[in-house]
Amino acid sequence: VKSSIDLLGYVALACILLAAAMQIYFLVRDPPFNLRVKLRLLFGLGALPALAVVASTATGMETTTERQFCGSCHVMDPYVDDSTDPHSQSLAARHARNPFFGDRNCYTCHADYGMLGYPMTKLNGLRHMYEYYIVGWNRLDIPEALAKIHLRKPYDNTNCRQCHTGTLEDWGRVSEHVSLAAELRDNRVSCASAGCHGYAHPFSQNKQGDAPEELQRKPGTKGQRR
Amino acid sequence: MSRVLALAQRWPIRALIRTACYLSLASLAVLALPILVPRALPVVLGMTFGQLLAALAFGCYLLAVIADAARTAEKERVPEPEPEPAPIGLREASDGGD
Repeated sequence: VKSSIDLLGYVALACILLAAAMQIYFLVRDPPFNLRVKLRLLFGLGALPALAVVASTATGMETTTERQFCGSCHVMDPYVDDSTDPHSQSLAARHARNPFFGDRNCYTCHADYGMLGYPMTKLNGLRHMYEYYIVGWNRLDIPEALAKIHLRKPYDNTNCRQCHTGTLEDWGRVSEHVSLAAELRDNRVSCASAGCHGYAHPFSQNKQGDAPEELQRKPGTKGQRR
Repeated sequence: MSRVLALAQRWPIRALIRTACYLSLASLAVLALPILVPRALPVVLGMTFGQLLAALAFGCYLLAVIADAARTAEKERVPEPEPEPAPIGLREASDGGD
């Protein structure tokens, strides 16, 4: 059960309780269907449930951006455990310790960027549900899940560059940023790859978009940068 | 239109309202799930079946209102028949008859 409910959640619960009370009253007392009862039922079957739908949906959508929600599928446990580990030095964990990301660190990094980013991310989430409950990911144990479940497409550097825009002078002082500017822009090299900033999660390995081999030969030089 | 109204007069108003209440109670329970249990399945159920059940419940309520309005309109259109006068012998008896 959720530990803290926001204001909209309380509004939804209040509407739900009030509407339920009105409907139970009608079912028990069975009053004549006159104008007064019609108006009461319009409120109890129409207005209050409509408000409950809006508030519950808004709360639900907000809930889907929280790490607790992502971790509700057991195959995400290693990722959530790493994110919440205060000693982990992975990219994901270091970002999760940043208050800007906080409890929403999964969503902040994995949501698509742009005007349609939010709905597209939610649609992709429905596909995850399908894979989990219908295809059978819910029956995988953790080692199987880590071996089988990967990002559907290479991680988009645009998501990193929502914050790390590359406009600051410090960014341009890193020679690899300058020399690989075109590759970074076209996602041919991933920011979160061996030799650059390291994999986002300790057990994840990119199939595509790794840094050039000459960078990978000196691991840790860039991977530990904060 | 008149056929629809004639059909609407036969809809069982009380059964529709009771069905609406039961459907709505079910939808409210499902809508409360995403708030209380923020896991994947309850959230998705709340945002799909919860809304669907709430819409169906409101639809049943609207049908009941339409049926009631159709019956009222029919009653106003066809005036109720006057009560038949009592037989003459009985009328005289009730008048006192002395």
